[in-house]
Amino acid sequence: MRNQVTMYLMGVMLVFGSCKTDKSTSCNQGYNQAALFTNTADQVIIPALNMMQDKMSQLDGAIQDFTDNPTMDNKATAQQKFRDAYIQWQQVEYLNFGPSEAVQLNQKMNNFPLNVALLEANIQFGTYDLDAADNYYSGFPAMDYLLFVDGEASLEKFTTDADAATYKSYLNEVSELMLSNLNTVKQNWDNGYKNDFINNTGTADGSSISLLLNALNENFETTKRDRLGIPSGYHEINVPSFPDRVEGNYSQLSETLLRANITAAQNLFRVNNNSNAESLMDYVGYSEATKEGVSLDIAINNQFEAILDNLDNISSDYSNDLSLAIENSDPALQSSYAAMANQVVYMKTDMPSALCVSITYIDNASDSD
Amino acid sequence: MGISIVDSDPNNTIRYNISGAIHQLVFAPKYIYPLVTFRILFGLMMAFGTARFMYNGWIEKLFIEPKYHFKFYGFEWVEAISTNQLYTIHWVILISAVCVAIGFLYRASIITFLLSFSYVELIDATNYLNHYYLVALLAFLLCFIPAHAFFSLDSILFPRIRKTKIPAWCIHIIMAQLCIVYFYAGCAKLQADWLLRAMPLSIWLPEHQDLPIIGYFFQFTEIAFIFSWFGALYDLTIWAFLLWRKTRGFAYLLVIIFHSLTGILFNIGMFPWIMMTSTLIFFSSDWHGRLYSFRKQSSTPSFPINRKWIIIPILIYLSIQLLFPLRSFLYEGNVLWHEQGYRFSWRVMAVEKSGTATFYIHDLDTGNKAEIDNSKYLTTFQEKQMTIQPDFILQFARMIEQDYKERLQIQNIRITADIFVALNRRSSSRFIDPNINLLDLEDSFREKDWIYPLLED
Repeated sequence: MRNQVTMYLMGVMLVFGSCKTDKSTSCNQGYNQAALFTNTADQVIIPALNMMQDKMSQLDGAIQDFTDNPTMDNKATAQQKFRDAYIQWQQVEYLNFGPSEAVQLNQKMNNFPLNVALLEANIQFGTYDLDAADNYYSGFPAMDYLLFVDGEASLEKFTTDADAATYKSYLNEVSELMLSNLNTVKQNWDNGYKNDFINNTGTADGSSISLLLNALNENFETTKRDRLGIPSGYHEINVPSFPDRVEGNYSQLSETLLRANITAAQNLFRVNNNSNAESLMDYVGYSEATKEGVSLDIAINNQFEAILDNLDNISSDYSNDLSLAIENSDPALQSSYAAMANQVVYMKTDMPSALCVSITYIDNASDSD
Repeated sequence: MGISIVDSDPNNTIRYNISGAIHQLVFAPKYIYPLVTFRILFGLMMAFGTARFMYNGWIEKLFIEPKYHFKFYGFEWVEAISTNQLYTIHWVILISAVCVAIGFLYRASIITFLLSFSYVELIDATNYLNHYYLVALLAFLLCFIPAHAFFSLDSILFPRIRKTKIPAWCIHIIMAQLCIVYFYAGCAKLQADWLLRAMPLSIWLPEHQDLPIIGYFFQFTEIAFIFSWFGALYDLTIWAFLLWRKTRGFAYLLVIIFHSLTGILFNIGMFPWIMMTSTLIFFSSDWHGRLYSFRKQSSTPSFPINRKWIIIPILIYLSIQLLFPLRSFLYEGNVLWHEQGYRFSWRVMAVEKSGTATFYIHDLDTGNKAEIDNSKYLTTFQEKQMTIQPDFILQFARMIEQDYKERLQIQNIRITADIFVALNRRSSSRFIDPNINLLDLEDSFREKDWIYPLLED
């Protein structure tokens, strides 16, 4: 008996002796994850939050000036600050973990499409909860409507309208709430979360790599569905499209926002295209995973480029407004969407597989075996 | 009967004489004590497991949240029930399990347990776990076994049923079932991913580097290989060492170590407890008898034996248990990939798998198509399970069809799907034919030739 055990053990040892450490089975042990998180935080996340805070406070200031003194000039300034802030927001939306997740920042800032009827009812009755989970009458979409629905020249809502006072206070409250939530998130990153993020290495659920991959994928899928799929009518059969459900419908900013969103995902992936630094892209490269003969890191980056190229093919006649492109069935919409669908496979199935991370937002809470 | 009553141990009593061996294995009277321990622990664990299930909110999560339910082949008729009924049935499971443990109205209780437990497991097939199947099998066997004949409320209330000896098969059939589980779980590990790539352990172990002491070692691939090979060896042989009296003590120590470790490392719920308590049945009746300090009470065994009617059902049961797990060999390709014959075969912890599935509905009358938002039909957990299992893919296509027929009165429907799955750290590969109309396909045991082969990079 004892001899048998010894034989078995020797057999096992023999097998290991002949197995040299192979990266494809070691889950990328040895990669400097902390450097990846440091670079991602210092070069992408913190600058994005700083910039967002800056643009949001400028927007808040402009909105205060405008509501204090509703002139055409002040409205134009507020509109411009709104555009800047909304475009910047696309970078922050990908950070839905840690501090952002704690305050449900994405929900507070950008639940779209806007429910106009609810917003108007809020104004009319004067009672509302801007903080509610289903606040499809708050955040950027509400500002988009209030600042742009009447066209550039009209000040009616804020001057002669019977509810002008409520419109003004509503706009101010929306802006203040956004700014204060954003400040909370930024403070939490500055006061400790950044260090937690950098030091939370490993591949378990809740590790920084898992948080990052899950947030990236979840928001990318949201973009595919909400920013392009639903307005284009891809999810409904035998009915026309829904061009008014695009993001930034009233400011006619939808294509710009979509492009900014895709670029933000790409920047997060490759840390502002710094090829020498540790980044998600670098990490995927380290895993030596391939996709149809191409290194997976290259395949994902190329796919981002392919999406942006397809978006470039949308006719310039529509001046960056997806709703016009949708009304006119621009063929580049379909190809952009198909390119995004490919990217979902690469990022949600291939990348976690290569990095030994499970996609937890679709995971099981009970037992397994 | 002319055969002396000995506390038989199958390994050292198998005689050269076949009929003698059959007698020892099946009909010889054996002390009931191991079975009593088994009954009590089984009942208590099932009661605890059910309480835990309710306490964790899994009734809501797994039965109430889902709008649609996936079914096992042949059990499509099992209907979902209301929240109150679900709670009621779980209380029925819990109480009947307690009754089994204390041996109160045992026959009625174990049959009630089996039926209610199986019913719950049949509601949604995405919840399938190998150890739920094992529980159902053990409960089924207990229905035929007088495990309440001793140390039970019944034996006090109805002294007539009290016995200290029972026919040997009552204990051996449970041991055989446990041996089959271990052996097939070991066989399922004799494949390239497990042995040559240490998959999926080399994904799962590094997740636990924060564990004290042992965590440090999980960064090394070698550890994943050692665990994989040891795990395979353990499953293939542990049952034999448990059967053999000389190695039994050491083997049980390994059982404790092995299942504790897997319990700590993996999210496998009650499974380690089930195995650690069930395998006590391998210990001798002397050993168990000591627990009750009624050792060797004399009572004349008097069970009417119609040998044929015991041997034949046992042979049928064991043949099914031995053959059914082998059905995956009837299908071409890697069972870890196509999952035909995967369930009910003791393939535990063999895959880390995830995928992306996009379904399309085509209205053949208008020529229009739309992409399905899976989350409108399925919970995230169901979606994950559906994406990687072909029979669920077909069922999901039917759910979509039914919804569109009812909601939008579209009659001429075609449903296709783009599905990509990554198995054990490979890059993803297309899972099924993207052009095939899933509504044209019927689920059956026949080869699903619309599944694409696994592409190796």
